[in-house]
Amino acid sequence: MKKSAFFLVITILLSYTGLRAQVTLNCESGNRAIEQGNCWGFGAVSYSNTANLVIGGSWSTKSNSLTNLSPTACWIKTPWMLIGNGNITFQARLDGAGNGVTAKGIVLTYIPYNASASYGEGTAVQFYTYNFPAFNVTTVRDISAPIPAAILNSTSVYKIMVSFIGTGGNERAYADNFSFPGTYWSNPANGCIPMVVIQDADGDGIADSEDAYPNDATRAHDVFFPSQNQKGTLSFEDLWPSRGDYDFNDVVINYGLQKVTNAAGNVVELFGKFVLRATGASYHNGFGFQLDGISPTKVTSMSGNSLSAAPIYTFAANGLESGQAFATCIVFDDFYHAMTWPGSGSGINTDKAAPFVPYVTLDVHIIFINNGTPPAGGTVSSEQLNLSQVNFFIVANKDRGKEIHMADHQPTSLVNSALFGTQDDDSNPALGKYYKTANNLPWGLNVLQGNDYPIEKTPINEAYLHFIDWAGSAGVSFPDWFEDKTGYRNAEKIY
Amino acid sequence: MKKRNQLILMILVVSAAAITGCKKDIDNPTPSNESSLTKLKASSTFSWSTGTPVTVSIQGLPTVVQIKSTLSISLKDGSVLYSALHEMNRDITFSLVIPSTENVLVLKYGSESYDVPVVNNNAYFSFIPVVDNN
Repeated sequence: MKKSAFFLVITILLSYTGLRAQVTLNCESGNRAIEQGNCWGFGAVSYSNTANLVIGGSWSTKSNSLTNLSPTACWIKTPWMLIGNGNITFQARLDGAGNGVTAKGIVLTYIPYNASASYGEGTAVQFYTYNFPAFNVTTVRDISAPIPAAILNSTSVYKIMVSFIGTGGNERAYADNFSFPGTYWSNPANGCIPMVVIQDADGDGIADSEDAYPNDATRAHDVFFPSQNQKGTLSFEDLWPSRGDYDFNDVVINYGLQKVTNAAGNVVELFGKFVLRATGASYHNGFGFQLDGISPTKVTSMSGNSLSAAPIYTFAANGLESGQAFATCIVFDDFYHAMTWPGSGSGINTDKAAPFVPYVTLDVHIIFINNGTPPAGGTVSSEQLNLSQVNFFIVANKDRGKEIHMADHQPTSLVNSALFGTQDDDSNPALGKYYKTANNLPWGLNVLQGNDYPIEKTPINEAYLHFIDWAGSAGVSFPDWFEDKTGYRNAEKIY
Repeated sequence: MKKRNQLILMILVVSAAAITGCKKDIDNPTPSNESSLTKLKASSTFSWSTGTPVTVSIQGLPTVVQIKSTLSISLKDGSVLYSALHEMNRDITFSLVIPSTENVLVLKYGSESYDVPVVNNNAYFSFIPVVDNN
């Protein structure tokens, strides 16, 4: 697969050579910023649409008053170009009465590329001068200057600078319809330095410097959620549809997701790292996630989960749960199988008096495109798999239909929908309301920055003193309620 | 033999007591200050997550030639939240969820890097530079 490919450069060459024999500027964008974005330079020169002074179309360039003979006072610079053969042509006029004017003119210089110089601009070389023959008329002058022999058809790149100069009076110069023989050779995505040969070892069209997998043509980019360096924390109450005690420690898991895409923007694989931290429950809860909107047939395989000897689930050949409309991954089917009760205390890691049980990490790996080959169901675009929308849930006490999701996240196909609207649950599928009470309280929390959890039977608001401020304000007040700041938490009630 | 049976019986009794002890007292939830949480009426649109949804809008630059490069959006710590090949002349809008404690995203394109502030759940960036038109 390794090959020394110059795909990007070839593309650029095909785009430029022959097709861009002239670099032009007619100002008709009406927005000089667009040209600057395309690596043109302007010094004391703007765009004007003053009707009686515009030269061609609706817009022309307009210099400041020409009161300086220096070519660096009022100027226009082209992008970097491979200079061709022929004449530089444009039109120009003065705008004033000519009172007190002693000289007005135009100077052309070329600027060689020097990587070590500021903006890469080497020493400018002046090669052409034009003097306006009269200062009290606004006659349009046609300017034509041959490319100097020194840079004619050179393999090096140059900029051409058009300078407007003068002394006396306050006339300005208008100019338009610039045409420079040559090929555009600047890269707006790279600080406007000249185009260079881009290394692309795997030939996937992504430059090595931007490719997370420069030697693997089947992979190109990584995306993380909630972040690369910090895992989020999911915590659940497990008595749904009854509201429970709100200690949010019945299942506590840290999680981190990594999506790998190829150069075409399709998902190659998904890594899920799940760190089992605590269960403050007697229930034997399971945990999984659904990829909303993604057919199970678009997944090649799934591995890395933890299953007990007699799981209540059935699985398809690709490792996903059977009978689901959307791809559903069971990460573990029984917390007490994946992690061992320490022999005393309530649950695991929720009772400070009981021995601490080391966390267990499960690395789940879902392959969508296997060595460049998608499954029968086809590919999944990166946009279709939004990591922030991965739909986590627990299954309470091995009762498959009793699945509990984060607030307003839809259930899987296998939920017992008869439970909606019973006891404390106020779900209303028709309204898209799921897993919330009548007061909109949830059964799950998702703290993207990660957080500690309350000890057993301690409502979370007793452990985190600004939790209610946060929740009551819909997240506006105390967005950092979970942090270890003075006055933010009661350490004795946090495990 | 008798001593061995007594030992087994003792182990079973202790184990049963321990297992019973790990069960949560479901029928008697702790009252204490829990009432202040249960009486809370939250917004119907609240997500109960410490993530902030952000709409990222990027305005393209009409380029002279086709420019393609990797566009990435990261947190300040370098965590990449979005990364894809992008044509510089294309407008694009997409949604992200970022930690609510973050208020700046870092946009990278080619060799360029820009800090993009998040204001009212929106992050806007234009490849067209801002210039003083004087």
